[in-house]
Amino acid sequence: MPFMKGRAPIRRTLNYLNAGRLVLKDKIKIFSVAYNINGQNNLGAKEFVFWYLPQIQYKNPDVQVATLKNLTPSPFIKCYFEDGRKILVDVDNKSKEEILEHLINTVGKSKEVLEQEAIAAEKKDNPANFGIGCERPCICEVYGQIPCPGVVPLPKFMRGKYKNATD
Amino acid sequence: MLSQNSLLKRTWPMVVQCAEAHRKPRWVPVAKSKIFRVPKRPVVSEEERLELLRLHNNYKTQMRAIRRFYHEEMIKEKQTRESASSEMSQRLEAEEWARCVELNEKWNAQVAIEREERRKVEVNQLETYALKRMQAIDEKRVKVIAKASEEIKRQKELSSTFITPENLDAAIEHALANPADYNFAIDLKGNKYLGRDTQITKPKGAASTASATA
Repeated sequence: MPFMKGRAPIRRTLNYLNAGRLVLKDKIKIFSVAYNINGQNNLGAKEFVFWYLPQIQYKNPDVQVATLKNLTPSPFIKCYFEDGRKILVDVDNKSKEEILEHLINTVGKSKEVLEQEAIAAEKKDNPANFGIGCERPCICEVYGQIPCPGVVPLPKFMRGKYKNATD
Repeated sequence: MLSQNSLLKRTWPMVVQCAEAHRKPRWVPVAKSKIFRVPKRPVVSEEERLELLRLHNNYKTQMRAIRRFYHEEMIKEKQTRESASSEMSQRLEAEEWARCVELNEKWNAQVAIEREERRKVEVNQLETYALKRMQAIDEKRVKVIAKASEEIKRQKELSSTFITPENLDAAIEHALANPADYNFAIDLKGNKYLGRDTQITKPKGAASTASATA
């Protein structure tokens, strides 16, 4: 898809996709939305699909997101868990913001969990970290830092043998 | 010999010790003066050998026991920790699930109530609409019938003037007696002069004004 073509191309920008707030729980494997395109009571579900589904799919790449259009008498959202449980959310005559808030409260990860995960991810991904298990085992590998004295001897003015020489 | 670059590109920190400071390289042969030197085999007496063997065996057995002890302890600790954490997480998850389901059911019930109300309103609207339409259709039909009956009445009144076989002769005679002449002429002012043979007498003043205006 070209950059600024089609309806509401902002939906495809990285900033918009990253701003999605609904991160589904790990156990949810399928997220399906059933809605009709006609009727005032379907408007919220329709707009939800239009505006928020790209964000949901972007934030949950391992979840199958399905839409069932014009196959239902009244709109609903159904989430399937990996152990066979299901949760059904009736979204009849609700606005897209209300639907999103409710989904965040029920099937989404809570704010605390998200923050913890963000911290954990940052620890692993931060390129400034070094040590065992990081991308870089030693700070001496960075250009401009002093090499390890085991590899290249320290300059004399840094070595106690010369710095603290008595005679 | 390791290159400096390969040392810097390594993935794990390591300590490099150089053992070559006091040795000659591997490829240098035995010195001329040492070619025929045969190193003396170390002589270990039988008593000493047995004693060393005993000591070594003792040392190895004890070390193995210690190592096994710590290893088993570690495994035990790990298992207890894992089981505790998994139980904890399972309980937390069940609580979370119960909370979500409750919240969702509340929401669904609310939505169902709202939908019922909306459906009622919609059905009422539909009924009034259908009634209105039926009324309009009825009115239209009544109007058509009234119009038709009026037409019939009018035609019935007119039927007294119809020409029938009985009064055909009279009608023919009447028509012959009163010939209709639809020809006419129009002058510049728009006056109509009926009849083909009508004599037109122009008024004096009118003629002059007509020519002036023309």
